Amino acid sequence: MKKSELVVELGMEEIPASMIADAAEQFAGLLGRALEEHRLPAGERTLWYTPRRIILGLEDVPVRQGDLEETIMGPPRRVAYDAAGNPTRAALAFAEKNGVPLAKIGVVATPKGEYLSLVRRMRGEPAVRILQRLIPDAIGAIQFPKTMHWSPDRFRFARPVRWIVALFGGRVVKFRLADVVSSRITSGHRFLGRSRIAVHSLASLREELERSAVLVDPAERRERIESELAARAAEAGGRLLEDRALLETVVNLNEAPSVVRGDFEERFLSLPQEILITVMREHQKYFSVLDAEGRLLPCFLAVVNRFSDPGGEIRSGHERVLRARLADAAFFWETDRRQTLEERAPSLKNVLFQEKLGSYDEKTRRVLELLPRLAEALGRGECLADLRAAARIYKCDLVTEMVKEFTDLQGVVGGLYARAEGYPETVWRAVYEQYLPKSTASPSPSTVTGAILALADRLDTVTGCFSIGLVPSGSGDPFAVRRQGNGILKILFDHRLSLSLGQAIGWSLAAHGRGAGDTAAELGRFFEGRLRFLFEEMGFAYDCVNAVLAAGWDDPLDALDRLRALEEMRRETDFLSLASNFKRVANILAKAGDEAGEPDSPAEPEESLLAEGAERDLYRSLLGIRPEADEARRRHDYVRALRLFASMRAAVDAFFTDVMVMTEDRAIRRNRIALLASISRLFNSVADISRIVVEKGT
Amino acid sequence: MRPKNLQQIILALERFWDRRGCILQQPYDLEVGAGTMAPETFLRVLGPEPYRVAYVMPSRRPTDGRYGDNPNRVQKHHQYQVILKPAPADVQDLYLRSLTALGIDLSRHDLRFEEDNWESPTLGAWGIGWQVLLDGLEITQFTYFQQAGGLDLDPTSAEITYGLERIATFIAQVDSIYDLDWSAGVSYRDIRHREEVEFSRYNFEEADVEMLFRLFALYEEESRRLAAMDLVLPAYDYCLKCSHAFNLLDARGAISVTERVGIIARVRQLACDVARRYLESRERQGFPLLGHRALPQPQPAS
Repeated sequence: MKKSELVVELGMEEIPASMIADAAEQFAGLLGRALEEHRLPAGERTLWYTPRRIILGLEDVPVRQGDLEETIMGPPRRVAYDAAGNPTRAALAFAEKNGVPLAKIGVVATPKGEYLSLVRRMRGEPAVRILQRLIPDAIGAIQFPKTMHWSPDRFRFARPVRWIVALFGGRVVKFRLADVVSSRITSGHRFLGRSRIAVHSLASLREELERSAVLVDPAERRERIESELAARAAEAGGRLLEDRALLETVVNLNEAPSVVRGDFEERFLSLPQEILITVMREHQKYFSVLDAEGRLLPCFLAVVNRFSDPGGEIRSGHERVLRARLADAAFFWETDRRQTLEERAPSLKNVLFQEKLGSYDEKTRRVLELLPRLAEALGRGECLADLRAAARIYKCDLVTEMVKEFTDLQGVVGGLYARAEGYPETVWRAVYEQYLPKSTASPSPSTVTGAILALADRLDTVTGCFSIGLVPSGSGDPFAVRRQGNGILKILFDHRLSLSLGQAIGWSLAAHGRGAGDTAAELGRFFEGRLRFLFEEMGFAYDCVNAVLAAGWDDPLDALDRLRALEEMRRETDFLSLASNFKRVANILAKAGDEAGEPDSPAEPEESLLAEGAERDLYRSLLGIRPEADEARRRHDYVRALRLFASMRAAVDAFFTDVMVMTEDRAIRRNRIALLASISRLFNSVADISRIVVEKGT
Repeated sequence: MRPKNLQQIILALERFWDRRGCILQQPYDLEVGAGTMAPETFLRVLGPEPYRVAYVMPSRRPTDGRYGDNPNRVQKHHQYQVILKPAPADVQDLYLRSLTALGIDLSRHDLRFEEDNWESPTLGAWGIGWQVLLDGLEITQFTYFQQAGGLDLDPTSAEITYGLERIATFIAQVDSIYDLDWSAGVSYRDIRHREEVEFSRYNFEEADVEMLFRLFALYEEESRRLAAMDLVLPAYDYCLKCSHAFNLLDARGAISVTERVGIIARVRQLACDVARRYLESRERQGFPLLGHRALPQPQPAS
């Protein structure tokens, strides 16, 4: 079968940097799958993209679909022919329906007897005719977070599509999409290249575009930017402040990237470094340069969309823009401090947190109400004075000019102003780090005071949102409640804080002026979901997670400790065997619970009713480990507790071999159930081990 | 010829867009926050009729006032607004050629289109587009209009909004807009500084809050009354007056965050009502500009 190269270039107006890589992957996936489905499997794939183009090259695409053989079954032979061997109406109807003479129809033997059959050979279509449909379909199926229309046919895409190159074996695959007709004409860099360039293959496309100042391969652009950033930083006598996210952005913003270094006046270094770095990164997409001690140097690195800056005009242009930005920041830094954070507190009444949850002033009041209870419950009463001092001012930076201008610096700015005002480090740092952790991968606040403040703030947000029905759903989570919930748990884990979530939720709801009720139950389910998510993200097996959550998770840290112990123990054979037998225990207890009269089984078995040896042994084994197991649980030494449980394995095995639980004698039956229930209660205080999945052969 | 001052930049843009078949309109004679709010944009983008228009629009943003002290921020700046309806396929190139017409040599600079989607909650309008950065300086907002007055737009209009002061500082390579030349030998400071000082004081300190709230209510009522009589254009004027009264109240710090949402919704209500009635009125008139010889007609879907 002859095969050819397929090349598609989708030429667009500048696609947002955050969308292009994903769109390119989607397109390659969509077209690749469509080709498979149409019996045109492709070979090696090449995928490149820039802000203005997606380029997909597929080698060895068959020029024609494989032929398809289809067998159409007809009526049974005995119906189709009469005794004399003449065709009946049934045979004739079958031939007619399929539009073939009877002579073309054969007979096949099947397990159900002989049947008429027709083998129809469908010749594959030429690939080019199928590609004419598949390529525009694949383009149209690319999903974007936000789309627009621009052409009369109201086609939707992230930005307008302006040209399409589609070549198969060097010849144009003709189709029309959003008012664009496919061709072999591509377009180079906006200012440095030619605008109408004919190409005939992937290789010539790449070559021509390179000549027209477009580096099509994002990996090549990234490499070039990284090496130039390092070189320019070294020239400035420092090293680059790494910023992966910014790097990806600039890779996808430029077709011909190079790095220009500019300087700013040293006087701006009197501003806090965090502010300078944020101004440069957020507003101008500049990289920062640090000296050997990690101090910011008065320069910046801008990635520009061309290979050189011969007259230095670009450099001086960028310098002028940054100077204005920094002058603004310096102005804010000076004027903001004319008023202390504390003096700003009353203005929080005018800043809305959420329509139904009131202003930030009200939020502050609620957090102040929550803090003493949290501090006490966490055994950190000594932090309370600092916590109160921090909480009184922690949102006041929202009414500073600096934060209005650089919203990403919320918290950080408050912390910096608090430091400048002479607050102790524990206080200003708690304010500074209140938005940590930003994700499950980022660190929690570094101090316990900061951790408790961040905890209280998030708890207030989460319970507040639930209390007014702002509950995260499949697609929508406007207040990022899930992330806030993750943050709460991560803070508890990172600082090893033991807390009854149920209690804390109750306090927080009370601060919102609400009773517990349905909201508390809903919040319970929410946190259970968050815990499950976090645990699985931490790499724990889902069955261990199930086992631990089933045993309770009101104290998330405790659940984590139990989970770690369980994960360790699940490798041990005694434990696994115990776990598999425990499914029987769980089944028996569940069944007993269903039967009327049985749930009131005594809490503890009566020794005198234990009739058989194996059950007496089991009870003694339980009594033997229970005090120590309780003690281990109290110390949160769950590995020890689980190991003690595992030591009962032989007794449990023997019990199930020798003893029939569901005996006729009611008293003895109830007593045996009580025995199993006592064991189950003890085990379930750590984990419901009946949920551990035991693979066969272990 | 490279323009040397602000008015020459305006002249160069006027010449450029005149040659591309634009109607050169004069600034609308009401206070607005942006060129988009002038009826020549907000109403003309509605419905099927083609349009091409360009005009300077003095734009008032009371909260941006800095008493004439800040080199880049002013409570009134000047936009050069271009609407191309329907958006031609080469609209980005047209725009770039207009920069060349201003004497900017793009082969020596770093120009890029960075994602920036425009949205006006007060007008129930939004679009998709970019901010255009020239050596890191935002000089233009470029938008494909998707909705105005809550109505889907078909055909799509392209909106090009040049920040005239920004472009002028770029061309003149000055750090402060007050150092710009407005005309040969007369500076921006000469012409405008006193205005910034007085209006900053008015906007932030002296605007009569109670009066403005009263005016807002009166304008709103009048806009509704006029709209109900299908006097759509006067109704829109009063909607714009509401919007400006709101901006002044905002600068005075007289509107709490909670009220803010509600007041914006009230202005939007007026704007959406006007938009709907304007479209109905044009339809009753038989969309007079459809088929007009001098205007590029929208193509049917292929």
